[in-house]
Amino acid sequence: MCGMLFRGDGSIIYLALLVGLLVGLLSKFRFRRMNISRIVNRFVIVTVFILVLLIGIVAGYTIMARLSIIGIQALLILVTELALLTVLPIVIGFCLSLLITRIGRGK
Amino acid sequence: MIGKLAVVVLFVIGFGIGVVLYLINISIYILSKAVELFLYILIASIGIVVAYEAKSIKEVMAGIDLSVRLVIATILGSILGGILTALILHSDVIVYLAIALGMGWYTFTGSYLATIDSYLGLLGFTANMFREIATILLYPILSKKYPIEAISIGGATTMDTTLPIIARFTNTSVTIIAFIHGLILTLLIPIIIPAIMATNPKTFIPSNR
Repeated sequence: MCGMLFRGDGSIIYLALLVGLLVGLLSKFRFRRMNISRIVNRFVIVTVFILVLLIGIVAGYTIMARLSIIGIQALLILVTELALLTVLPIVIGFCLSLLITRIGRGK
Repeated sequence: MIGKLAVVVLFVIGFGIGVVLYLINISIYILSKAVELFLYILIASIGIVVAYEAKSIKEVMAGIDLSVRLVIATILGSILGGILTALILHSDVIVYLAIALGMGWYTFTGSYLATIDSYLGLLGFTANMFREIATILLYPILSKKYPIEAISIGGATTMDTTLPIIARFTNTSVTIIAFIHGLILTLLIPIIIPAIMATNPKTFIPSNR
């Protein structure tokens, strides 16, 4: 369970972010004339599309693998449970965030 | 608009390819490793942009305030969602509460709940994976009007898998808020779910199965 404490592979996410932050800070002072963030932003735009495609492939494969272990009859019940468990927390959470983020902010 | 549509279309195409790969029995091990690699590269890239563009410590502190508010909304939304699902399906409240409180972290929720019941593991895994998918599909649409509030949809995924989507459609301030939101939830989930399941020593028997 300890290995799963951090999302992704161990704490590499944090390491990646830390490296990025350090590089960003260094470039802020070292390469002021170059617009580093614009270059990186363009790179992010391209890689986001590749990542979305890859996540789609992995999601489709994994869901199929999981669903194949149960029968067709149980599938209908599962779909109802999944629909409710996905939609309700999202909708209620979003509505609550609309309220909570505005408290004391005069919006 | 084209960017948002491209995200949805690419995801649907990818999902279809994934289903086909499963049906023709081809392993996706390399692809799942590629996802991890791309994710780390993107997180580092986002770190560069955030550090380069962040104006001051004050901006980061303002982000923490909003992140905590969003965390409260996300947790409350998940609790109410879990309870409502249990009430609608006339089933065990604790179990659905634990699944809903996975808040998108499907690897942890699925694996942890599978140690109690395999069906529960499947439910925990799939429901939380759908939350991540919903964020990838919905955030680009909602980000124009509600860039901050829509972060709560992503739950714990806003610190990694959905962070590039958030960064792509918003600005540095919102990206900082999203990361802190995801980080807090990631630290809370491994405490919350086992604590909830500890209050329910019974074996899980769904009423409608």
